[in-house]
Amino acid sequence: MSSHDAVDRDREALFREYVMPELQLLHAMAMRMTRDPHDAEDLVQDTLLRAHRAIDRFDGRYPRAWLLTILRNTQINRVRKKSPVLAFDPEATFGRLPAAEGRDTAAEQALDRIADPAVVDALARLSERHRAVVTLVDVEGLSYKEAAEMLDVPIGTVMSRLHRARARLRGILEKSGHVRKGLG
Amino acid sequence: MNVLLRWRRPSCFKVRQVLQQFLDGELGPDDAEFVAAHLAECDRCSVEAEIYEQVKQSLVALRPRPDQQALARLVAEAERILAAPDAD
Repeated sequence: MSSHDAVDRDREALFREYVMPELQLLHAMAMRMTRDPHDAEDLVQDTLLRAHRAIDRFDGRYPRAWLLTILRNTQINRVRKKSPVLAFDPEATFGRLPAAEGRDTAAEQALDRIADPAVVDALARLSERHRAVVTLVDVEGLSYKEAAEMLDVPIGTVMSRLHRARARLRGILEKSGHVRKGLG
Repeated sequence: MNVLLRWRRPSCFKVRQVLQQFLDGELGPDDAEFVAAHLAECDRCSVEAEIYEQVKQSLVALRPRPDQQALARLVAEAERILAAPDAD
């Protein structure tokens, strides 16, 4: 057996361990980035190829953050190729108004549960950058580090924005009677 | 007024500072243990935790359902890459 075969087998094992379990996350993020089912699949396919090529240089720490960075860079390249004047804007991408999605029947049907209009409305009242961080961490379940990679900001920025965004959501939802009042 | 005096105990102050990280599972084990112990005995802070947990849960409900057909195609694509790694 050639050493080349051994390298391929190692890559396959690493790919199965770190990449395969994250296909759903990659696809969900790609949908948010492209807003198009075909583009999203193309983006994930490109990401898989890049991840496969790079996996023997990956140190095994934070595989999701590593993959999301590849996804993000792949999308940046795709956007640049399509239109050199357009730049990938993570806050606009992930902070897109949920109201716009509400008008989109396909997106509405894709929700697991019926979206609570009060929650959608509260989210719409946040600033774009606050909505982006809440979307990544609360809606999509990313860690602070993963959200920081996607937004290209420090983790501390994710934490402070999240803190303020949730305090605002809590205030709005408290007024509408959606969450109980605190004791102070 | 000293900010510490707003709450009954000094530990409330520390807990409020890291409560979000605690709920997100982003706190180290020692700090998480401290917060959990405090929440067990402090009504004000446990109500606070309950409210933020509710806010979080209402947002989770906005997560789109995964497209199983697209996922199946991506799994097939991943297998194709593994089967012919040199074709990259």
